[in-house]
Amino acid sequence: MLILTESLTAVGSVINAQLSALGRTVRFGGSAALYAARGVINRRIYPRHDLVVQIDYTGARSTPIMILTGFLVGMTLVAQTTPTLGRYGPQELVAGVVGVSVLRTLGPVLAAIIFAGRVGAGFTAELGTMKVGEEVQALETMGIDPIGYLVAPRFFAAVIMLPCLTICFDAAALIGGFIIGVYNFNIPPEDYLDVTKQFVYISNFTFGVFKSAVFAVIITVVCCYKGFTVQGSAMEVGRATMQAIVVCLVSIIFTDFVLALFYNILARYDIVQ
Amino acid sequence: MAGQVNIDLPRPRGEGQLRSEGPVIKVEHLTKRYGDKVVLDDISFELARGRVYVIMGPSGCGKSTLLRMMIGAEAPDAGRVLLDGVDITTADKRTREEARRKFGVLFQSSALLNGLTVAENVALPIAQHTDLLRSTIDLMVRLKLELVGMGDAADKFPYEISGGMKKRAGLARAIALDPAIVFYDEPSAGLDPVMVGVIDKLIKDLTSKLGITSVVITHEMPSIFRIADEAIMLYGGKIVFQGSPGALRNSSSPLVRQFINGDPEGPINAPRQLAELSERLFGSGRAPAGGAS
Repeated sequence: MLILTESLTAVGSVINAQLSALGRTVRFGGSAALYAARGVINRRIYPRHDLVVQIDYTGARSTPIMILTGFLVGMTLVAQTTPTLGRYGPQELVAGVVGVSVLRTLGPVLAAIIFAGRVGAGFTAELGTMKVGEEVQALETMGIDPIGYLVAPRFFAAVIMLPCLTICFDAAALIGGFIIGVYNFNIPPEDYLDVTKQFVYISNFTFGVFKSAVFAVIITVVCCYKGFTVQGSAMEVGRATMQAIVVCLVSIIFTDFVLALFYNILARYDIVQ
Repeated sequence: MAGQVNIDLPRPRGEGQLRSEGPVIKVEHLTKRYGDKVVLDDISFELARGRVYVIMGPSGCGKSTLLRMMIGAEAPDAGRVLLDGVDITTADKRTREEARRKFGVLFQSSALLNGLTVAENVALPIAQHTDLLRSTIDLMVRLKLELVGMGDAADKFPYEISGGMKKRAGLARAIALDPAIVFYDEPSAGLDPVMVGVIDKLIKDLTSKLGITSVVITHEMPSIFRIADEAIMLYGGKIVFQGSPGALRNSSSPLVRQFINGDPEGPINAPRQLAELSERLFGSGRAPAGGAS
């Protein structure tokens, strides 16, 4: 009985701690979103130059890796799916399978994972180092809110740029798939395009882009929060970065599942196709 | 040379001006515990304007905790800190931010933003809290940097300058809004003796020329005797000495004497493991073989 009570207490305290952390993270994200929006009008919250720097860092510099990865993913999908599909029916159907899976799930999720690894990890490490180096506290003592000054431009840039990067990823994957389908499996180009048009709806694309905006919020909030809560030495920065990426990956996949269910509900009521 | 420029600096919108005529800072019955450990135990004192106060004590005695509470970065368990008559420990966010414009802080690590140049670091609080034109801000930044002898390093990034230069740049940023009070967290830490002298002179000059109140957290004895108008020593969560450097030098308190002289033996507990290790390695009271002294 005593063991059961102790176990329940331990589980309860873990759940309590996790929910408290979730609450603090959500509040942090809310502040960041509010500052990002207010910063559009009030130039004092964060300098415009910082926003441009973040857009360059999160977006422009991530574009080549997104295109390359998207291209490879599209080619791999077609290369692995076409022979199997050919055994059961016309292999042109691969165009539809690849189109739908890339636009609805693979594109947004893989782009978000690459973004978390490249940009999110950078956010945690950068802000964590600033926290350890007393830079965050220095901003506070100057009467400057560090969430507004440091997190808001990153938040703004990520929410704008990850959907753009996802579009690049999707496009590269579709082109990659098309090239392998046409040149390796001899699918006529017009057939490949026809099947793509038949299977892929605009809502697949728009919902994928919407998902990527949600992922951008999750990545920025988790990674910046982890950076802001680093305490102690520089070693803790590494630990926080690792934790941020793990939380991001699990959150992205879980959110993707929830949004997939949500999409199915929308499809049931003919809101999407 | 640092501290030799005597310029009547413009004060933006009265930032940093004091309202009340009373003590600049009033600490009342401040208490702080971390778990079972009482770091500050019912501390009270007052600081008058235009003087240099040194808060000293052995490592872990609560100096930095006291500083964090005085700047409103940490809440006490009991007691309050009145900064120009405003209770900074319970003030709402807006009042606290207004109060924060009355003081500047020089952090132990200087805490310059690494992504900004020295000049941009100094300009940051001015740009954030005033409506001055860019050209006026640039002029003010140049004046502040000249004041601390950093005019030539305005366009350098923090990672391109030495530790002493970082401290001076941090000081220029701390006084950017002409605060009434400047807090210094271990300003001499990690500097060579000459640079310590330069920083000490700057603290003295800024206090006398700008009429600010300086609160210096340190345990560097030469610095304390050079700059302090009044010293406050903490030990065991209590104030064990408060008075002039002369009174500090002549104090008969065993705690104060041990701290001033740096004796390993005495009422201040040195870390036991270190003492035991020293005894194991070198024996009691004997110098190591080949040791110079």
